[in-house]
Amino acid sequence: MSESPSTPPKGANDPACDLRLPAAEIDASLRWPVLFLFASATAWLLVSSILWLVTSIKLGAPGFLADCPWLTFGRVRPAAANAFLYGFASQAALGIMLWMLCRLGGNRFVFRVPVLIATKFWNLGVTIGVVAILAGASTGFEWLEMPRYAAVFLFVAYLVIGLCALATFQMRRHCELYPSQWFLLAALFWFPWLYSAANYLLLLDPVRGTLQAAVNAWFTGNLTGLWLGPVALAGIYYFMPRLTGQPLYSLGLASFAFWTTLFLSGFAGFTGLLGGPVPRWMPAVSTAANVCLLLPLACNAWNWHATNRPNCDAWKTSVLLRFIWFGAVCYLVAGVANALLGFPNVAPKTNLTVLNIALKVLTLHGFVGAVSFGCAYYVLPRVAKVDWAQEKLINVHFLCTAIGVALMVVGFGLAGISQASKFANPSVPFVEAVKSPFLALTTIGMLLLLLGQCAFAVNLVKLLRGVCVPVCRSFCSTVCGWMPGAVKAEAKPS
Amino acid sequence: MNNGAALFLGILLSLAVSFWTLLFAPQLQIGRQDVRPIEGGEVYPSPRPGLAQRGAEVYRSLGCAECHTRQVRQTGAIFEVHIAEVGTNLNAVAAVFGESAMGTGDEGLDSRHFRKLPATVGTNLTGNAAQNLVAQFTAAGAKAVPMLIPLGPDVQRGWGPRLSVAQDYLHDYPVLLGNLRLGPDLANFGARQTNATAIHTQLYDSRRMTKGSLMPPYPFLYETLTNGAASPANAIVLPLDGANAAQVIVPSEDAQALAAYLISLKADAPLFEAPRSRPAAPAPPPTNAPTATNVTAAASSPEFDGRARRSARAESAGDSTGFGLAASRRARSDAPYQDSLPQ
Repeated sequence: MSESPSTPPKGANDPACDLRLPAAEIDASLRWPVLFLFASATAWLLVSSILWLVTSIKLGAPGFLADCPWLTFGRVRPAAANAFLYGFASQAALGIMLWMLCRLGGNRFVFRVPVLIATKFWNLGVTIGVVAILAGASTGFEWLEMPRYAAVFLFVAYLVIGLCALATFQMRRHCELYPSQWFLLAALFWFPWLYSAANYLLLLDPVRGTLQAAVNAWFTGNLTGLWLGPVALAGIYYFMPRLTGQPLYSLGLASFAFWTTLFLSGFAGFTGLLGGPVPRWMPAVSTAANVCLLLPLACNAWNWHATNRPNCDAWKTSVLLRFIWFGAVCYLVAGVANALLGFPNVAPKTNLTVLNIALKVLTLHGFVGAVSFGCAYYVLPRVAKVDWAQEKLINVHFLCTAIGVALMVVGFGLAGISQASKFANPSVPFVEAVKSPFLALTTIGMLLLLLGQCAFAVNLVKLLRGVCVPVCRSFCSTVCGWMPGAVKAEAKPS
Repeated sequence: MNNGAALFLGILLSLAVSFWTLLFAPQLQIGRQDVRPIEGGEVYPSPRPGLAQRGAEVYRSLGCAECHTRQVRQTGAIFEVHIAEVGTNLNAVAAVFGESAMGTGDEGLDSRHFRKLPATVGTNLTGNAAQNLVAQFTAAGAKAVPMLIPLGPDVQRGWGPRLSVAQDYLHDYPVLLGNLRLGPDLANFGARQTNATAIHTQLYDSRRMTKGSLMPPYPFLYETLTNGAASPANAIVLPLDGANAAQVIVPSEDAQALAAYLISLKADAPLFEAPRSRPAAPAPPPTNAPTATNVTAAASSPEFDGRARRSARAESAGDSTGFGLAASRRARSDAPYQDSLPQ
């Protein structure tokens, strides 16, 4: 792995307020929480991908696994989405957030125990939720399918982790704030707000009629736009300069992009309701917001490009930078596609087709997923103090991710366009209108994604073994040192 | 931008702006909607019966909404003018018709147009054009009725006679609009399918009903009877169908509830915000003359959006004239809404 230059990703340095601790010390303090978050995130990722693969096969062969109510299409699909969003993406985001807040603040992480316990509860919540969805207790609201009793676990666990993250931010030893910290802080506040408001208005004290659909659209739009998205943007803003060894091109551009993203994203989620039974002004506001979001998009793109320009061959040597760049490109493409597909003369034709799955894949697997992996490849060996066992697997993972996402987006995209044109023509029978040969591409894409994720998992398992085995040995030798087996095991490797 | 407090306030402001605009404002706008009376002294929407209520839970639990939307969309609407009665002066009516866009100008052909009533004398009209045409025919002594015809692929597929509006969902929890159509829209399913056996066959093995259907089979909702077992009253015999052998299935309680729910799905009442002219079943011949004036009053302002309440009144007037419009609708080549009620 190419060790990046140790220059901070910051332009100016004020020695008076820079009391940063050494990076190694910070990383060591984060070891267990971050490793645990990423290990469980990876497990959920595999669960989600396998479930997704099942739905993908069912699209081609509806009879596949149809005898079991737990594995019917309508249950597996939300289970896969929830496992991905709350199991993988949110936990990876929390890991990245804790690590980055400590690194940028230059302070040690002191809340190891509460965060570890809260992460356990989070995982318990996700497990209960996913099992409940498969058992048929889904609430029916997209991305909020987990029943109340699972959502409570997630919310309480998040409150603990979020408060710890906030306290960590307050304890920073470096007072100057870097763009990544702005985005992280925004995500930190937005998620509990989003999650509690949506759960309250949908599950605890439900609003009436189609307002439920509006609240749901608000939640789904903002979950990617203001929780997972900003954390991934923070990752790009941190690693783009770090991996290229160049200072960030412009703080001003980043600041403008931050504030516009923050205020516009909150309005962007309603284009899916265009043509539906909600007041017309709501999707209209979203259409406008999606177009205006092209502005921060362009600022971000220019900022990253200009940061990258002096060292524009860096991606050839660093697979991590390739992950980050791939995520950045997916973010840009998804933003442009969102703006184009949100127009009032387009959206009613496309927003009930698989085109919206293409957009979600682009945002979740492309943007959020790839950036999370890029961050994980950088962060994990540092907090674990163990190198990745097989560098080649990282390349395999990248290729699989890039090709897999591309195949899925192209497959769902073309199938969606074909559906949109056939849905608009009532003389085409509906059964024929839905089908598209391109849907087969998406199954291949999902298989590739899963393959790449397995490569990541193999590497991670080896890394975890490298961390845990010495720890377990020393633990055994101190606590149960009288056991002959333990002594033998201790003696062997030396 | 190194001020943590300013950053925090900015983030809080963004939360507040988004919340008040997109969650609170619509609550003020449509959050207090309630059931309201429609024509015929009913209130709309009417609550679902108990079994259907339970079926809604099955619908939610099985994730039907992952593939089925429940929102009919409409791209626009046109007006048509139909002649219910020619009156006493056929020649005058034919002359008016001859000058209209649909007429030929040939006297004989134009008068033959009215041999079979109701006759369509104007189609694809705007509100004002329909109003003018109705006024002309009324002046000629005929009874003319303006008809509002919703348009759009969903309507033409027979998924519903009009667009879905917020009022349709007042009794639903959760409201499952759906955001992906891998199966047909179900907003108005109960109006096109009332046969529980057909629904059960579809649920048990959709491909028996629709060739190449993407819908997964739900065998776990049914008990399959082997030969010789005593069949309960509600058993369904699935006919021999190609590779599939004849089978006897017994729907579980969940399946019965689900079917009841599907049959209860109806969203076709004409509303102020979703007007349409209901194709009336042939009724006894009308006798009350005042309806004609009523029609004219309604037709004097048949704007699609704002004055729909009046057009709804016009429509009830049309109903009372015993207008057999269902037939004439089907006869049209681009029949927008086909009631395909299987028997």
